Amino acid sequence: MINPTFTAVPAKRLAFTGFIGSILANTPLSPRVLRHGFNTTLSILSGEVMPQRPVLRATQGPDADDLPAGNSSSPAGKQPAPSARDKYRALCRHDTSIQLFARDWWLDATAGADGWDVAIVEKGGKIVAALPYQYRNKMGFRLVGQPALTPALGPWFASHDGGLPWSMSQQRDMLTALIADLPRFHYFAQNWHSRNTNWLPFYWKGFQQTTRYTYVLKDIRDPEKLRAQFQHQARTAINKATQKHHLQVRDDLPLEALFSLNHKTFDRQDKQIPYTNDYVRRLDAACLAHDCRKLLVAVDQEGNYHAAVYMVWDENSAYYLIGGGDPRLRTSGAASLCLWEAIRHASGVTQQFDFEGSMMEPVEQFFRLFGGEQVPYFHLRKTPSRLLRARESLLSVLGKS
Amino acid sequence: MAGRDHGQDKAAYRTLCETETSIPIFAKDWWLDATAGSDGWDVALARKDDRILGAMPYTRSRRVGMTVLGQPALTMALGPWMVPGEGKIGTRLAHEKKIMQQLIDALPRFDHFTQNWSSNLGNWLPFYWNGFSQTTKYTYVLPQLGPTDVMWSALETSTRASCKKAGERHKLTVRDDLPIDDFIALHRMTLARRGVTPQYSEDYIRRLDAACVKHQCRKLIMVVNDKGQHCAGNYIVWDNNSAYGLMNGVDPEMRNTGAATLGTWEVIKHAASVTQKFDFFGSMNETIEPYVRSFGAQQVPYFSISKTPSRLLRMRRGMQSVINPKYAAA
Repeated sequence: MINPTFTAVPAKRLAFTGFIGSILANTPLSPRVLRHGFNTTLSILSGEVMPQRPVLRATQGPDADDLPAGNSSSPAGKQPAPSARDKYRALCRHDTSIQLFARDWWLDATAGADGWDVAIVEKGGKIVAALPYQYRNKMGFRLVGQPALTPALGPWFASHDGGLPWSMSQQRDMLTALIADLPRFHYFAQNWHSRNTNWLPFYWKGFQQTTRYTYVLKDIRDPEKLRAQFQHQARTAINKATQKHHLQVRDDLPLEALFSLNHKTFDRQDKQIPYTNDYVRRLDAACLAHDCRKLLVAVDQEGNYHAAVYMVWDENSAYYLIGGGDPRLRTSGAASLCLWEAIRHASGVTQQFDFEGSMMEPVEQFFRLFGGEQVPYFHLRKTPSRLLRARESLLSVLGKS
Repeated sequence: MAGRDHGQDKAAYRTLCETETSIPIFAKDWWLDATAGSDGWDVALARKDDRILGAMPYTRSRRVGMTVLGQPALTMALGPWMVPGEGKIGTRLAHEKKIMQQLIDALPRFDHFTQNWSSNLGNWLPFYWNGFSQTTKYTYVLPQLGPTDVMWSALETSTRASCKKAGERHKLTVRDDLPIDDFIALHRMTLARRGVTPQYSEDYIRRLDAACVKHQCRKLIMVVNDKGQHCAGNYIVWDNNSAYGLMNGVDPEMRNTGAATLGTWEVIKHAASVTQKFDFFGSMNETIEPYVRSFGAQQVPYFSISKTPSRLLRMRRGMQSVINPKYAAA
């Protein structure tokens, strides 16, 4: 059996998991996201009880009264100094080492233009380290994390003068400064990019970490060579899809094709979809504007949609972001065929193919068939709120964590 | 597991340890005998036909009615040992998964499990699927020991200066013929100064030392001054792959003489003559990093794996987490 679960791929790397996930799962993301503006320049928190930033300005939602009061208005007519976010936006325009998911326009499209901010470290007027994050207020809790359909964020370091890697102590100092530049929060949860391998400074500040995995094809210049490295089940499935079921992969279909397949997948797994169609539409529009997305749908001769892959890419890698399959047509090999076409397309536009892996056993089994290298990444978490910690503990005792 | 003869598995593992050089020193039967006691440990095996494809030794103890599986004190890592898989990358991962699942299935019922894994193990997914948790810790390693002059020039300037100062100004010399009890005294002094309660007794160290002497895989270096006072001591053990800085000791009054640095440099030199790497057996402690970095060590991650099926223990941990100020806002 080839792909019993070409399935909950989209559900896999959500920033807010566990009990927070359960809070959030009941609520579509975008409409209730509280907007907040930061118009003070970033300053390192000095341990005061309630910091002056970020200043939250609720536009809707019942939590507005819980928000800290602050100096939210800048003097009229005066040009405020550029915020950390403004500086980071400028950086994103020219530094291609910033991963797609950490770019300002991606965060605008997912978190909303006021739903994210960035901790930065500057040296000589240049940003040398940055940690973008989504910032939300939910039921009175301040949550720092990452938006849905954003597989990874985490610390980014500018390339060092002269191209040498930053030393251990430099990295440590920059990470410590980034932590100090985070706003106060009740709960923090982020998946980090796999290049981040040192979380010690976060450990010293009470964060917790665990290792998760994605699967990456690290050199996709020659897709035919890759295909030879697939497990035979994957090759058989692709052949079956084209030769027996005469499936065609189309790249000109509207998002609705993806939605219908994606929803079927979630339905079959009896899971809530952690994003709305509008959320995906907004993200898709941004990706179209930046010419870095492709929707591939496997269609049979009667016009039935069998499976779909939605991929995005940057200069370094393509990412398998959303998938879906019709449970009734699962044996047609369509999922494998779509992935194969996605890899082929990626080969023409970037250097790697990231399956954006999953910790779910069946998904892992499926990705493994394509010969990707298992690449670890960090999941970081911290729960300063005693109330939320009590809830975590309770759920753990009940075996629901 | 039911129906499995543990005595037979342990005997088979002892035989494997005699011939299999890729089993780390901490997982050898004689090491476990010396630390956990010959009845204090057991081993989970994964077999195919008659061949052992994987092994995971563990200590077993009972505390207040709870069965705890873990690893002995002064043991850096246990965790799965596996015959390397071959073929395509997907095949290798499938091979690992199969072995790890067999090892997990071969564990007895327990209330709490915790082990550190060797840094060469990078895949804990099968344990995740079985309800275990993981976090990443770090040790510090000199990944390639070599000729003394090359290693010497890789030291930070201040470290070289410390070594020179120890010899020239403080007239410190290095001895490797002093008894273990001399070292134990120094080691205890160091722990007491740091306010650390030792997790092992003096007899525990003596027993382990006797076993290591017998297997010719330890070196004890003492740094002494011209009055014969013991200033610092370093205790290392090794296997084919790496040496491990197991214990240190320094007389607080001699801390400014460079004795500790000299002792460490001496054991690194010795390690280079018997194995390939030097592992400082590091900790997550904030203060250790600058010291080990001065010897050119690299930060190397390893996994800590745990599982607590006991609801009572989970409740205890939960309450501790709620009151622990460590998790409060920075």
